[in-house]
Amino acid sequence: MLSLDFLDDVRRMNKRQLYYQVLNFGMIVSSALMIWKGLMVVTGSESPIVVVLSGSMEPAFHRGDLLFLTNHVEEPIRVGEIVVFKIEGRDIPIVHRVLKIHEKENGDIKFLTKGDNNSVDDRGLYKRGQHWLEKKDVVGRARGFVPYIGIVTILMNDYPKFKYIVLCMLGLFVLLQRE
Amino acid sequence: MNLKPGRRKKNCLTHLTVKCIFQWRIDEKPVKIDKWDGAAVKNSLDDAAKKVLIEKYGYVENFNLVDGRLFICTVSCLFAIVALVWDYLHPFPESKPVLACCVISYPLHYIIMSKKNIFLVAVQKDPAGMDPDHTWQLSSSLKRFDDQYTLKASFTDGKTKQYRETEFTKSVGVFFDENGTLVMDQYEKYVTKLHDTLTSEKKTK
Repeated sequence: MLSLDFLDDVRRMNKRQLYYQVLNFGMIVSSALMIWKGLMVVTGSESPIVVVLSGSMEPAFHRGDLLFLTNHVEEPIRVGEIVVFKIEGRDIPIVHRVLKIHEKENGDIKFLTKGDNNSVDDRGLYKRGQHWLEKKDVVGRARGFVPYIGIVTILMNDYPKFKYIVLCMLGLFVLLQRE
Repeated sequence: MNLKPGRRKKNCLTHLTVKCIFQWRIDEKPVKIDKWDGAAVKNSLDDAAKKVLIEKYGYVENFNLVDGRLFICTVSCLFAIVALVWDYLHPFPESKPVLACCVISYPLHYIIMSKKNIFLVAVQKDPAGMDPDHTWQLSSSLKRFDDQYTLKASFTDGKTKQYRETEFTKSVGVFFDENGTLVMDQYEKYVTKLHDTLTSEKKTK
């Protein structure tokens, strides 16, 4: 006979309690989502926390560091600041330093970036025919960082099966445990 | 069912086996939990108290409080879903006001949900059918890492609107044995005593 003891709690539940378990799971997911969206609203950036994916900014940032970004419109971008930007048509954010800026009177800017650890500027990375980046490409400016923690994100991206297994286990744990 | 006799026997056997191995509801199995898991202990004691009141005394559970809580939680989940979908359809900078709205309304559910620890609201129907129903409420508390379980019962007379309550505090070790099995007889005695204290007060007053 199969004795699935860990299911005993669930088997004793009535319809309302079962719905509450599912709701509990939904609440946890919603809380995480709301915290993320809240951060987006407060910082003004579409991705307030990013992970450094390459070693192009060593020794300032290493692969796996977690960066906190803000993107307020009122704060102008200046040479020497570290910005995170996305190239049109590509999803991956790049963390490099601003090298040159051309600024018009009305505040429009065109700027050039380069990774501290790279020997050439980023023109090779930009879209074909694009020589400068604009404000709309910027995801945010780096304001603070936590070292090494982002390695987990990199691992989960390199081994997607690992990510799904971890998420499934967490999901089952929440659904089958009573508060 | 027009099946060949051999086939029918095989189907019956399969059906019985499946039923034996996997009977989903286990209402009659004695409750066994991890005695060190505070939440499981409190939940099983609450459930047992509920069982005593509903099955032994035949009161009818009133789901309004529970439904209210479920509704508030569902609404806040909806807010989160709306924020997600809106942000997906209108990429970030435009969705800012909607997002801000949802993010601010989400924590409100924490404020609205009452923290009164009530886990059962039951109605004692008048057998004669003449007087309005009496309301019973059960609430309990068990502090984290503590073994003192408090069960409070409150009675509201349907006719006189009189409110009475009483409670007892005991160590959970009194109700559970070495293996973590709930000793229903012991617990039922205490819950019955609690219940009878309130009903006897009614008679003397």
